[in-house]
Amino acid sequence: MSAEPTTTWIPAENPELEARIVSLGSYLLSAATTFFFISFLFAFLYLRALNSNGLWGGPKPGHHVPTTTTSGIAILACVLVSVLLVRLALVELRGSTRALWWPACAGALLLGLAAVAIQCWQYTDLGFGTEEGGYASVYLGWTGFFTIFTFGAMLWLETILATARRAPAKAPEVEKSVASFSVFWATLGLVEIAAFILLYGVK
Amino acid sequence: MRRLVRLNLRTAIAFGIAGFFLGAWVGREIAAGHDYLIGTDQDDVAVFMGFLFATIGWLAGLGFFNYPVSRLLGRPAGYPVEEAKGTARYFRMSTDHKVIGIQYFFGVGAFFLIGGLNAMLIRTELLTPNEKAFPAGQYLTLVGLHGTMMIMMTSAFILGPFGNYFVPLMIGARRMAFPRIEAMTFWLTPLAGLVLMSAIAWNGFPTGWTGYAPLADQARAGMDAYIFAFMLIGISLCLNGLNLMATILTMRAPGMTWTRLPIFVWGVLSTSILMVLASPVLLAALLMGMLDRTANTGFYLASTGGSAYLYENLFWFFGHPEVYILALPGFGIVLEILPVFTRKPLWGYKLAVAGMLGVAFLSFFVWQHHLFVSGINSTLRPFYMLTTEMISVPTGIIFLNGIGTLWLAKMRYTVPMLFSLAFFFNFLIGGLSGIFLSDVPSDVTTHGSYFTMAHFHYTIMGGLVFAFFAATYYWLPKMTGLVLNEKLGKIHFWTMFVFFNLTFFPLFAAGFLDMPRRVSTYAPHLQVINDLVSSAAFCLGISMLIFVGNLIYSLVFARIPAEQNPWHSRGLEWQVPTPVPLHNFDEIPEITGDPYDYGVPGAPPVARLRPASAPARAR
Ligand SMILES: [Cu+2]
Repeated sequence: MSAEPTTTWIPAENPELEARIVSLGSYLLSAATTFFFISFLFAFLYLRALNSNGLWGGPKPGHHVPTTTTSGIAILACVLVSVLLVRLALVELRGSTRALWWPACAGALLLGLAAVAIQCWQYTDLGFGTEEGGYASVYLGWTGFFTIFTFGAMLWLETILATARRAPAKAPEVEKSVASFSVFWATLGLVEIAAFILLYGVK
Repeated sequence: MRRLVRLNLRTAIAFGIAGFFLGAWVGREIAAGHDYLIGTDQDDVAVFMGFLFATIGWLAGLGFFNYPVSRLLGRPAGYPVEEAKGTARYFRMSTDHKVIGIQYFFGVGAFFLIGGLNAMLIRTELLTPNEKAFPAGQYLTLVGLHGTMMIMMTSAFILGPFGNYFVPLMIGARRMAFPRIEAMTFWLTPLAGLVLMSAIAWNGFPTGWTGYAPLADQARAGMDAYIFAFMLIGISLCLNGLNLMATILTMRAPGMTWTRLPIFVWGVLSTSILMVLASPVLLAALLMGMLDRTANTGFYLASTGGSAYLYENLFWFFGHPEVYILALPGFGIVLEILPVFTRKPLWGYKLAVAGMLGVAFLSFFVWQHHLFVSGINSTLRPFYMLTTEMISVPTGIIFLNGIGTLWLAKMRYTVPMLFSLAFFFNFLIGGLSGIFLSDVPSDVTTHGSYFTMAHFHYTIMGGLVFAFFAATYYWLPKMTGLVLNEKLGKIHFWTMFVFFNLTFFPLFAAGFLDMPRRVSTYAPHLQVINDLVSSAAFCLGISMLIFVGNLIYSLVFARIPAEQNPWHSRGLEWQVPTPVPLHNFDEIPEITGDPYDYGVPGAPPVARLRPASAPARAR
């Protein structure tokens, strides 16, 4: 094949434009994510209303599989506090001292990972099988993909923290990347609220 | 951490194949303890894990994980561009949108030809009323492979090559917003094609391109290939839309106001809205199907509290916008091309924009017209009938733009112009037949017949594929720097136009005479019609070979360098040198005029490229 390529760098666009691109990208990703989970919302409402053969709740008509509300609340709390911590970090970054943003983001990262861990642990002790009715299916699908999305979001957050650690000086850029991340993470927070209400409340 | 091996298509294939077997082994280990997984006597978990690991291997083999890993370690963001010549750069991950455009053109084109080959085999079977060439099951698989391959590939058919190549050039940007994501959207596409074709190894899948449950739940492992391939395309579509939209919204050059945006870019923008919002629903629908097949959930099985209608609803919530993911870029292309060859301003520019956005918006509210005969609540039917019929209003506006531009024009009948005119002819037939299908009373009699099949081939092939060829003859000289032979182009056009219509128009009649889709046998009195259609279809296939011949002749043998602006277009993409320099514009240009002010006295030039852009830089 041909000669060894030389790598050049595209002349950098100004950092403000780069930040706008990431910010808009985050909004679009949030929109796509919302539509992804709307599919599960629709599946929940549709299958629950349809109640095929009376099997929505469980393997026998009129019966509902047990829900693990305790760990559900724990996951909800982890996610929501994590979302709030990212907002707090943002406020800090926009303020003058910027003292607390790092611990706030690190805490958000740990809480997000905790939510993932609790969900994985919960799967080992569900109290019902995947084939036991429509609810079981929607539960598994919704929480499962939510957990994968959460893990992806945490990778993003880790990237922001790691970048800031290497080049600590550039506060405005950190602020913009945290702001973009916050949009996506808050969207997932809303998805989790909806999931909690439907999967543990409405059932 | 410099790489020891050069990552390119070869490493991608090697890692992909290794990944498949590793994944299949892991999947078998996971399934081993669960009797419900192995009780079905097929290892869907192993197949899906195989595909998943193959995808990871494929992407790793191309080098897609190097950058994310370095970012996780805290290295700064950046966009390297390989300034390479020669063909090797097309077989590697490249972040240059111009390389990606050409990768798309040939990559998707190759799978398009495979899909076309399937069509030839289908028409061979239909030469006789009885089962001859293929047993019924194989025939069904053939139809499914043809349909799925074509839908998957045509989704990327215009946006892939021309969207990625020309959107940055048309808005005055140096790159796309997310160059690595752009590269990934391309590389997922051929992988999806290969995964889909692997279904042949498991004797295919029985559902056709729509993958309806509960048949999809019951089918054997070929279905896994369908589900996984379509998921890859769903991800690719969503990311491509996200990238295009981010590019158009943030990276326009100064002076590129919304009313100066080329109409093709408007077409891309309205399409990308659909791609971002509709493809996640497809992804979710397929993931639910995957869970049904592997984790034993019952999303689509009434016997365990699910419903097959759930799939139909989710699938068509994606599926109808998908139709416009195919069609809207086509509208954009023909409206882009008409003013150039009529030397007149585009008639009703703002109306055209409104029409495109109107189509995009309405397309989310019509999906149940695919379920008219599925036993949905009959009170729902009028609403979806009305919304579907309403789509003909914005579509009609776009026709009006075309007619207004052609009105009293002195046309230049170049090859791109001929394809654009044929687009209007074909799409008119496709659109009008669509109204019959949106109408409940006529839909219940024609649903599932060849009438439907003729309808969507008129819109997709007659519309989209004709627009694709218009764009190809119009823009390929810019992309490759070489002239396409015009005589062969005209022969290609006339054979394709004539035999396309001879192939598909009689099928409306076959539909009215109750010939059902997806069945390899038909009533003996329909043989005359079918033999006519089959012979026309073979000639249509030959017309594609003429095009391939033209490509080979013009790009390999003749190699006549193209002028910078052979069509005398005002488009910004034509103001840069051919071949386009690596950074597109030495300086970001300033847009000073409207793109379609042809023959307008005193119209300002379309842009100031500040220092007149120098021809290709050193090297
Ligand atoms: Cu439709």
